Amino acid sequence: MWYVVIGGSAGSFQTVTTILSELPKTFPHPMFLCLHRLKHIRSGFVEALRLKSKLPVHEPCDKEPVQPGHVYLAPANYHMYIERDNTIALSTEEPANHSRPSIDITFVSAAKAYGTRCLGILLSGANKDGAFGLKTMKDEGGTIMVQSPDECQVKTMTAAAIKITDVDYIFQSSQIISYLQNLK
Amino acid sequence: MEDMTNITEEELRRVISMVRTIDDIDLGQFQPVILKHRICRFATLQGYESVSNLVEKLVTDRSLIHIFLQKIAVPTTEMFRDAEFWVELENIINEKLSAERFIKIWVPDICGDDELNTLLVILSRNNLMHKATIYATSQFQQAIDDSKESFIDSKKFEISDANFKRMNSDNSLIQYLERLEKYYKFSPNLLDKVIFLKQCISKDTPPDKGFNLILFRNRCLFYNATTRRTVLEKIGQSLIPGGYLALGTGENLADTDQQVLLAQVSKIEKIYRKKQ
Repeated sequence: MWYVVIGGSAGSFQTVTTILSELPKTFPHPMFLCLHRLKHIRSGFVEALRLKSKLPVHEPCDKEPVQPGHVYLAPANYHMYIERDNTIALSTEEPANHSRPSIDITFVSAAKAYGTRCLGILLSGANKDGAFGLKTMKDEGGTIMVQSPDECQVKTMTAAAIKITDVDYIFQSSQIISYLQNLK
Repeated sequence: MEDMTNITEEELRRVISMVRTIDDIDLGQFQPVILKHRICRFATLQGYESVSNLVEKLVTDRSLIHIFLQKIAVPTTEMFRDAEFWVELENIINEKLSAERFIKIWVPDICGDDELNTLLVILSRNNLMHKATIYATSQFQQAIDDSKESFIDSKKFEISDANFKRMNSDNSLIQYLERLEKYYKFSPNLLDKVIFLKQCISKDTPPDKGFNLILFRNRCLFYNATTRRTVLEKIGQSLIPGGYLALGTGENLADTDQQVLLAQVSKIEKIYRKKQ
């Protein structure tokens, strides 16, 4: 089992919906989405993702157990941690990198919880959130990839990750989808 | 660069043990992943070269423990967080609780005063302060002291005021604050009505019984699963039949007996009512 953790900000929504629309109903791996979003808009986002996904997509409640084949979207105005006992922990701590949810927080906790079974994917975005988390994932033995900066609407996030760590793959979104479809 | 996300289980145990000895606060009740993050964040903010250095310093320097505890608790975010929630709660207060002769309210685990202050604004603008008895409790003395003073910086004021306006309020929040040179101060007249008590929600008895409303949003997030269960059982038992409990959007009563004893009364917001 792999634990797929995707982070993104400005320009990533379209890529995420495309990824979700291309994954089969039988995709067995849990997926965590940490996407920067407006804090006071609590509804609409998860519903929009559900329209495109064959997998169940939901905003988890605190202490919710992680299930195979489910997609967990970090709720607005909460950080989303992954606990070592394979549950989700939400938090209202201070923003990190001006963000709540912060991609670094989700990535680092997933890296510590899942180690070599963690697959981190960083998409388009306008700040550096996620770069450090991706590095931590790599340091803990996980596999990391970034969306090709050439394809990103805003490349700051992926460029920051490439700068501080040795990413395993720099992929176009079609390659990311293909990689996920073949993930065993 | 030193990895500031690493704290070993042994180091965590040492910190928990030290704090328990000195301040009688059990950090072992907190959600492990968040506690570790808080410790690592504190180490970074205080300029330690590594988390291990901080741990060594903590176990030898007792004065540092008190600074550490001030920073380890997670403050609430802003006043009127989730404006739609406050609209619903205000409706309940107006339609259900205002008919009561007295309204007994508990705000447990205050840290930062946003939730408490928001509640005071709601009660005040509905002319219900005179019949309300409000308890605000925390196991952290500093949190109580801060809440009594209740200073608000200008950034938080702007965010809170914007939230307040999202409640379709024609007025500004400023009417409930005093403007000082660098800060705002929440109305002492309203805070004077609050009974502040040091209380550990997981091990001490509640400050009173028979509450009409317990406002407990986003505080259980920081407890581990076992403590959360204990705390929610206590909270549920402290409500009168027909009393209300408010949790955060990201919380629920799953895995507790209270999910049978309380019914969610709002479709979206986590507002529960104790069954008769």
